[in-house]
Amino acid sequence: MKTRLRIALVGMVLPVALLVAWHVAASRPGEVVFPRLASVWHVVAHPTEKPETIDAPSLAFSAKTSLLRIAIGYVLAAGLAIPLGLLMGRLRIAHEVMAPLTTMLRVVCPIAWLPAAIVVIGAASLAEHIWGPGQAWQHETLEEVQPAMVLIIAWGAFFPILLASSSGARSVRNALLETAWLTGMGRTGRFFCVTLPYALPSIVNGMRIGLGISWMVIVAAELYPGTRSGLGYTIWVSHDTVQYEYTFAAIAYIMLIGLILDGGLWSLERRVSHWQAVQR
Amino acid sequence: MTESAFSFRQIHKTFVARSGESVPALDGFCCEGQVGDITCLVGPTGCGKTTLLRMAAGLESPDSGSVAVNGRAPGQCRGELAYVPQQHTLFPWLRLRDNVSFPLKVKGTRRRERHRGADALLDQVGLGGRARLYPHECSGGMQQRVMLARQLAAGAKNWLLDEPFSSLDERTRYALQDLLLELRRRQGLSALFVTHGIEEAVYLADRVVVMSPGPGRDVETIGLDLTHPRDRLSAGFSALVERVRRRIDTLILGPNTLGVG
Amino acid sequence: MITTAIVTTIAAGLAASGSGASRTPTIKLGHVGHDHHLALFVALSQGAGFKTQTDGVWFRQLKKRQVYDLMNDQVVMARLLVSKVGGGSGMPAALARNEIEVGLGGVAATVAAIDKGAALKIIAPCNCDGDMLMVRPEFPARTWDEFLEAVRKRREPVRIGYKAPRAVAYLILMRALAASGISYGPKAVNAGGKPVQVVLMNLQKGSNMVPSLQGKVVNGIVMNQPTVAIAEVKGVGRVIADLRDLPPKGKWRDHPCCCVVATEKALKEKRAAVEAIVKAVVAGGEFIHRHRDKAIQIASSWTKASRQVEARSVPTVTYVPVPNQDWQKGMLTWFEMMNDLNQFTNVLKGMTPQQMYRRVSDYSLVPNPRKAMGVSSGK
Repeated sequence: MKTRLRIALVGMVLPVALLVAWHVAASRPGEVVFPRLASVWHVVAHPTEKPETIDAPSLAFSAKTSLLRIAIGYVLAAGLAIPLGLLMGRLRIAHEVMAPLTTMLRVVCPIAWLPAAIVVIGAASLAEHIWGPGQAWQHETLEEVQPAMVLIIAWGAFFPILLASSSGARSVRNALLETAWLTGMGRTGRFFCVTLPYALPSIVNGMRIGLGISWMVIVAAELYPGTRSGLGYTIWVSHDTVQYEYTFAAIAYIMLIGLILDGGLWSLERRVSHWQAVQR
Repeated sequence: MTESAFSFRQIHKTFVARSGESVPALDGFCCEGQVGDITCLVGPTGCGKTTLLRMAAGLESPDSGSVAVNGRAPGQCRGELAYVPQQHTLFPWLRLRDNVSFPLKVKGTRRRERHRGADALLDQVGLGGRARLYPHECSGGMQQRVMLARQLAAGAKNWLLDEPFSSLDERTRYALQDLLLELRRRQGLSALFVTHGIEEAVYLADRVVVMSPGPGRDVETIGLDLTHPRDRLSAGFSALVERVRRRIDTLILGPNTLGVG
Repeated sequence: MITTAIVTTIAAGLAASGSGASRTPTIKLGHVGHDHHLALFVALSQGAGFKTQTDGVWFRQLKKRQVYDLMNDQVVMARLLVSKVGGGSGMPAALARNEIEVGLGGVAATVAAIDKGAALKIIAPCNCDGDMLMVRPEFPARTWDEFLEAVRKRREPVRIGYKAPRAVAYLILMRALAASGISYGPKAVNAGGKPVQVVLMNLQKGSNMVPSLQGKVVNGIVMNQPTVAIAEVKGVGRVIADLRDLPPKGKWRDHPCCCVVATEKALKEKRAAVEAIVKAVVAGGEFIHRHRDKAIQIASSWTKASRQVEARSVPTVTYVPVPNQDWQKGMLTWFEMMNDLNQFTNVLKGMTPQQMYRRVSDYSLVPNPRKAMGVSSGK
């Protein structure tokens, strides 16, 4: 109990120090960029209140929109990257074909594709694609989801998951595959019963990294033309109108949601990789 | 002529290293293992013992010569062979019960039946009540017992064992040797057993095939006609061990060889 | 799970869309969201009461700030979809991609897009002026002349920030400094190795202006409203000059800022709707002149800037409802400046300012354009 308390207290030192430094900075006369903690806290504590001084919906709505965009983009990324990565890890020809391209592409920041995405995909929302521009406004949630933005988010998450899946698949102990082969198991069975579970800790680790990148990308992705909501959008629009309490409140929500989501994946990673650390 | 459990005829094998250098591993090895017998392969490190076992399992192919298991090519015997390597190949993400029942899953056995079967086999190898453990929660001896249980689940009659007990302490090793003999008695297994240990070979085997230093070939097959069960503490057993040891030393000692056992 | 939900929604939507959804034509309009486009915000805010100003045109709100029915009396002409697009080249780029069909945005960016080959036309003016020179509170100047004196006295160069290389404010300041005999450049030392008196820093975006000013990255900025008003209200800076008053004297009065632009395609296929929008925007501009206080209130409500900010910003902007002589003069001056800087490299290359003016504009939709040419602007 004492140890836990000590760890908790030690862990609080840096955050508290940062808050104190913030308070000092915000108290300087003429300070504009660092708002007072109380005003940031007021925004954070009232997430369902529609802001009066910036052209954005409530933080709660924005958080929901950002989460939805990330969810779709992330699921798309994982849905493509995991099977492709596993294939690259097990099939040499697949690795030889894909590796040069993926190596070149993965170092390009997702935001660099924004102009190309605008031109190629356009700014129409999912609701517009489904119901047409005249009716899209009646479908509030899907009206906020733009395919191009989703693709940029997906791009950010794709490569870490791909590489981790490929690495995990490649590292499967041959002896285990041989054991399965000796029992008469076919190729598909060996893939699902040996390769996949062996690679799973690596895959989940890649998913954690990919999720973190998605959250980083969302801020820049919500610069996309036609965006009207989102935590990243809130940051930009409050930046434009010098209402920085909303900027930092949105950042606080990004950190909090990121922490929760990462915590979920971390828990999953622990569950699937319990055998890895102590494997004899 | 009775069919052999394992048959190696003029096996030649050369490996090519990454540098391109050729490394000859086997040079005309010949050997027959009878049905129901335990045949031990004994030889210095690098003489190709493991390669022979892998060929019998169908995991490697000879450059020339033939390998047969019960008269058939090893590839045709998938699901009927038990292969127990030196390091366990238990699936680390599966509990012991699921590891043991793995071959039953491949055969399409229903879950409840699989688990019942696995629990019975774990009992048989002395691990009753441990079905929910993971391999990393078990000792080396326990892991090897689970390996044996899994091979029993597969229902294999032909076993290939590559120094399975070498990393275990003496007491555990003895216990598992007895277990193997008991399983052979009950199930009528045929086994090809690789070992460095002369005493182990003499305790288990019906015949000992002595291999030369690499590239390996069979030098002599020593028949052991001491009846089972053998008593390690008896004078007859000790004398037999000594005789076999001296014979092996005579056969393979040379300027660049290591003594065996 | 989410993928299943999306697919189900798409399927439901496709099913619904086949069952008699609205066939009303749509027209997409974009703006930048600040008070230069107040004439539009006024028109959208007035509802049915506005039709007396516009020969029957008004907007029926369906979703505030986003979706309206463009009405002619009781007839729905089109479904108007309003969106905020990026400033600068964002608006003409959105027009070029057909994301919007009518846009309110900068003259400079629009003309640059037309020069590159975009099929756009300026169909109505929006506003002139509204660009200011602002300095940090401690800077020793309250007027342009005092600014020049301070520049001449200082040993190290004065740093002034601007938002983009084609921003009108930046171009005017450069000319004014040159006319005042002040050396300037992007670095403290020019290409010839001589130190400059004013360093002009590209701050990349309008939203970087206030932090740069507060953080003393620059001593001052040239920027359009309402950023300047926001900075003033926050106490970060002090306006010392309206760029319309900078030397050469009188040259920068009525310098064009924003305009109403349409794609040539929209002009051809949706002419009636575009004309109705122009009528409404013109009426909105006239409304601002007649009802200043109400206009400030509407500006605050649309842009979310405080009433205090809009009360400082709106009076400095010249809302030009119609393309009068002042507007034309301002445009020609601006074309001349752009020509001198060799900014036109394609469609407009080699044209005279008058030719450019005719090439980029089509004011035929502005109500009573001939009559309007005699109306003078003024704040």
